Amino acid sequence: MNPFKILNIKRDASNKEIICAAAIAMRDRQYSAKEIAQAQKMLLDPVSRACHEFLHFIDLADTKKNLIQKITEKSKYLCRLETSDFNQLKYLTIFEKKS
Amino acid sequence: MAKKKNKIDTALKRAEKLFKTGNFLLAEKNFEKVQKKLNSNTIAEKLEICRKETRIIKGKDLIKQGHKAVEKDNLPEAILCFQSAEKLLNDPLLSGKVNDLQYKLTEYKIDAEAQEAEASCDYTKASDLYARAWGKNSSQDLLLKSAVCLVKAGNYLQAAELFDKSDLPDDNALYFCGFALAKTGNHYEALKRWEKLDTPDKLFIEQKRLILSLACSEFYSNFKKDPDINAVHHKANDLLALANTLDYTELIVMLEEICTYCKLVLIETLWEQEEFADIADFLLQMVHFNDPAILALNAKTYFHLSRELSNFIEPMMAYWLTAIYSNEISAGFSDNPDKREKIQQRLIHFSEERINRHQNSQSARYATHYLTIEKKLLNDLSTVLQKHDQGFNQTCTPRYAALFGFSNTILELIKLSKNDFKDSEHYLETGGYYSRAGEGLYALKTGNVKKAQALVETIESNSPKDEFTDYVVRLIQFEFGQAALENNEKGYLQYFALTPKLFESAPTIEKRFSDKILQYGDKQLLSHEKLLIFLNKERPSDPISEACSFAMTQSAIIKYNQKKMNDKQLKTVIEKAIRIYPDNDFALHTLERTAIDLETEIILKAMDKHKLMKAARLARQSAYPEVCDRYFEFGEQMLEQISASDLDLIDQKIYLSDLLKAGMSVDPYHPVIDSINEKLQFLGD
Repeated sequence: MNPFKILNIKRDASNKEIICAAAIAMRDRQYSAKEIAQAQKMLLDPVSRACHEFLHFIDLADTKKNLIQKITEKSKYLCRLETSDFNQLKYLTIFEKKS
Repeated sequence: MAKKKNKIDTALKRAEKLFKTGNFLLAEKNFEKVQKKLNSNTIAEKLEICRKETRIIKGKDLIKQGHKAVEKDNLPEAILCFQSAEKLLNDPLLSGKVNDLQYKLTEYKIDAEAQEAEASCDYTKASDLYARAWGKNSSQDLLLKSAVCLVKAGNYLQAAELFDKSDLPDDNALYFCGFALAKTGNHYEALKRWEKLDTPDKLFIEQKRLILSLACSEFYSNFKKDPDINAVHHKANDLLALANTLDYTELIVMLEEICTYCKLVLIETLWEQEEFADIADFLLQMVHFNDPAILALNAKTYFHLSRELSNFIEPMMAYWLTAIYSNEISAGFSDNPDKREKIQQRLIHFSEERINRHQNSQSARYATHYLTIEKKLLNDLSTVLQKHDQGFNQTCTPRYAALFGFSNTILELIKLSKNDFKDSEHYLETGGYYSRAGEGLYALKTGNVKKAQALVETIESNSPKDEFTDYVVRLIQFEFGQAALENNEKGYLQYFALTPKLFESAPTIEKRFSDKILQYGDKQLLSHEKLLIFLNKERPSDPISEACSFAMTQSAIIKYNQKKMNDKQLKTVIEKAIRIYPDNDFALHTLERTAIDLETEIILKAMDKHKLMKAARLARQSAYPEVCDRYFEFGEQMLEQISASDLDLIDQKIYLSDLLKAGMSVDPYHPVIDSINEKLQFLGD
């Protein structure tokens, strides 16, 4: 179960926000009281909360940034290629049928 | 006059006959002659019929000639024939045929002219002529010829438009269409046309590489601006496939990174939707690269998937511990080391719970073993990494290391930290998991010795070895050999060929093996004797010598008790066992007992033959007091036998004197001597 989803809160929610969210969730009745209580308990315990943060959130921003840097670096090769004289490219006749 | 009339009648008759037989041409001639004279309405009618039939015959004949001319490609002749036939038959269909042929003739003429223009490299003119011909009969062939000529004339845009109207039926059309597209800046489209062209022609491959690089350049300029990430991903994949077919390394690397970037963007959305199966698909397609976020993503995705399906446990385990122990990932858990460790332990516990959800599945059973092995490995590695700053701080499982090419780095680190391990076995085993034989070691440690043996057999014998791979191979062979021995397989000894080297590198294994042997019962000792003799011959170390000596002694005693060995043979074997391990107390004691028994037996035999002095000498010379004791026991028995015998006094005294003399030479103070003396005194002088 994803306690953040059950309580409909963000990763950085404070303990106060967790308790408030649990009360709202109880009213909404989208999840059972047991699930809501479990979710609240999970997030109020610091060790458990850290575990669930790890399990339910991903942060790919740095990875994407690094990838873009690498791609940009490699694209320099393409810039060098573009300077080659494409206009000199001649058609080939290797596929013409000989009559 | 009558003669003249006869001639007319004869001509009329002939005409009628010819008319009746359908020979209208001759009938017509005869009727004409008769009609000049008679001017009859009936003949006039028949003449009309003959003329009509004659026209039909001539017309049909002309049609036949026309078709023959078409077959011979003589279109002008054919047109003349069909035109004449049309005049005779007045058939509208023939008029259409004549028109068709006239078009065709024009087309031929244009085509010939176009070919002539093409031959003289006037491609613009040739293209115009082909286009004109195409305008007349809409032949795709002419359209393609015109388009190709446009390319040759350098009019690429118009050529591309013409190709667009064709379904590009052959390789030449595909090539020129692609060329025109490339020249008009549509590089990606050009490559798509060329995808179907399969040729090893170097010039063509060069062209493809150039166009591909231009397509990539164009793609690179636009991919970040394109809002449709799915379309970008699709195009990047297409270009990557092309780059792969051309082995274009520079582009492959860049395109793979672009594809990965696109996948990560898509994964972010999928993660929100908890579409973990789709994420796993993307992760499988991604080129492996070592990144903490990707490592965590893999671990978490498979963790979520393994909730319902046991087949995701294995991939989860490939990443889980590495992720949990990763310095970069665990740093995000907490700044406090104690709390961090608690979180790590809790997350490991989560994985154990996941495994336990599927405890009946084979993958869960393996995962449990793997988790135990890998937890220890990672703890050991963490300790080593903390002690040594070698510029590599990623603690990872052997499977992750193999996946990302870290195995050798970790092995080097293990080598550098050799002294930090408990003993050589600990050192070699830790390295063994990261070696080329690591998979075999996993199999062995999870109880699958057959699989382990099969896996090490796949390691090429001529490939360079390292101490860790050697260790694993030797260990597996040793364990496999023991299994073979327990199953009474013939030729089991071959599997122990590498065991001396294994023991040399890891004496703790040797000690455990030797200790195990010392605990064995009779049956196991008998079965292990041959192996121990072999091992002792190859490596006469203390533990092996002790086990070998023990097994030899025990086996000999078992055989002796089963009457399969006599005293002498027993003594020989035991002496040998003692030579192998001089501190074998059991053998020493057995040897002593055997020697006493043997000497006692000889003394008894000598005394039976009344060789009392020989018996006394043997007792005196014996190193064992027990032999003397036995000698005097026999002496006492003899004294009693003599006393109870029917011998006369003189004989009794002679026997007793001899016994006394012999006994005195052994121990003059022995109580039996006193008894003999007393008896002699009793018998009197």
